[in-house]
Amino acid sequence: MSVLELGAAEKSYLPDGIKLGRHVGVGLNKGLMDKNPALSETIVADLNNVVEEMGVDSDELNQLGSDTFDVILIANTIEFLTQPREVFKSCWRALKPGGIMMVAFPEREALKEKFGDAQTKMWRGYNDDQHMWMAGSFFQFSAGDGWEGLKGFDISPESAKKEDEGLLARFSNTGKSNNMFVCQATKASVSEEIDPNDPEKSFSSLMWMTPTMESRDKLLVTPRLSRVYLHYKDQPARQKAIQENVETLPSIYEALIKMDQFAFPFNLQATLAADLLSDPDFEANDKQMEALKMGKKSNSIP
Amino acid sequence: MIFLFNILMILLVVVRRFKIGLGLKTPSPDFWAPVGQLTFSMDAEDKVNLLAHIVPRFGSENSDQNVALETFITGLKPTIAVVKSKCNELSDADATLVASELAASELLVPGRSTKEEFAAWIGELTDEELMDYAKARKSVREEASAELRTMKEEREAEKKRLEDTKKKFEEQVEKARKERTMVFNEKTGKMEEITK
Repeated sequence: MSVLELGAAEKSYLPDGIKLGRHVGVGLNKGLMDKNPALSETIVADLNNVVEEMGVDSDELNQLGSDTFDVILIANTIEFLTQPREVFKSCWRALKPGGIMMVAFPEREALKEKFGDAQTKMWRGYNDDQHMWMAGSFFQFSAGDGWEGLKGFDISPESAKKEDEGLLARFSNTGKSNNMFVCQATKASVSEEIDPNDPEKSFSSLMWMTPTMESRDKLLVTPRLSRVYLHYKDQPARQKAIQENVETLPSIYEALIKMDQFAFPFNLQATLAADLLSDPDFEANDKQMEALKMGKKSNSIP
Repeated sequence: MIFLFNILMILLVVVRRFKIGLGLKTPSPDFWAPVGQLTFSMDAEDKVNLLAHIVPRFGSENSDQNVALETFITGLKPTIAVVKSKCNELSDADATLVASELAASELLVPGRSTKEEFAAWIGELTDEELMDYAKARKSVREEASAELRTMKEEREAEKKRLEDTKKKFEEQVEKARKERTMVFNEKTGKMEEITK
């Protein structure tokens, strides 16, 4: 089993006796990671250094490749991520389809004294229940339906003081403030081929990580693409063009989002994008993108 | 004074870059400007459809494609004029739609029709044939609207079916909770009778 651990340090908090084929630690401090006997490899990277829409800006991390790890662990780290969405995007890419990502975090007060200043302002302002929702939203907003089986667990010891016990109960409970929570999800499989029985689902999976486009745009484009795809059921070359052209959508939307949204509504943008994709000659080259921008400006479209 | 001049120059550069960044390029006077003027009356959806036909024709390494684009733009205005003259009862928008789509389908793709062949063909089309084409073209949108309505109805029906199933399931669980006589005791690992 191969494991990628983000935010790695001197301890991995794994049960004793677990034998892993590969355990790559990614952290800020190489000295601390070198003390961790569980790690088979280490990468020094700042998880807050990201490229928008692309993920963590680390050549070493990116060189690990896509669909590489069975498990990704992030323990006691999420509260320090300033751009969690980008980190989760990197994780989604690195994880094998069907692989699981587990994000463990302690209760609000646990690390406050020692690392309170490093926690993000948003994290500091919310309670444990809200942290669970936040962790779930990081999954959702990084790859949408590309994550499956999103779950949250309270794995606190029975004796732990609960945040919502009420003032009297908290004073009478002598237990420690050592609550612990886990949010996890598995990576769904991207469709290799378009399923003729459910092309909408297949196209949707091809767009999980498409940058530039809003979720709204993906929702509008997907049924239109499916319709066009089914329309050309007797023309395999056209169908192939549509599938291959999905990767040109960011370029199209890059041009479209700069246009007047009121005069050129989102549904028409989606129609135009789907129509362009279905043309085998369309490859979003510079001249075509220039033509698209000029076509709009010339009142060819409203 | 020099300071103000510098500020002004910086502002000019920023505005210029901003315009470029927004993609607000001036339409090329030889192609897009006439397309925009000639198709101004068309519906937004039809303009989008035409644009989707034209854009992929750009950036080709095939020199015939560039000739085809030139042929299209020089042939568009006379085609619209011919359609309008033959079909008085068609609205301006519909006549432009018919003309632009006929020109796009025949002239934009190299190898289909030369300008002369297309002109001869358009000249021979009767008003009835052009009206039939306009009718068929308009029915595409009507059929698409009907299809969309059906799809929405089917999705709503499926959503309702799932909601009803969920509600029924929740009612069953609630009923089972109220009426149950045994419960699983996690501590003993056994089923035990509920004492009321």
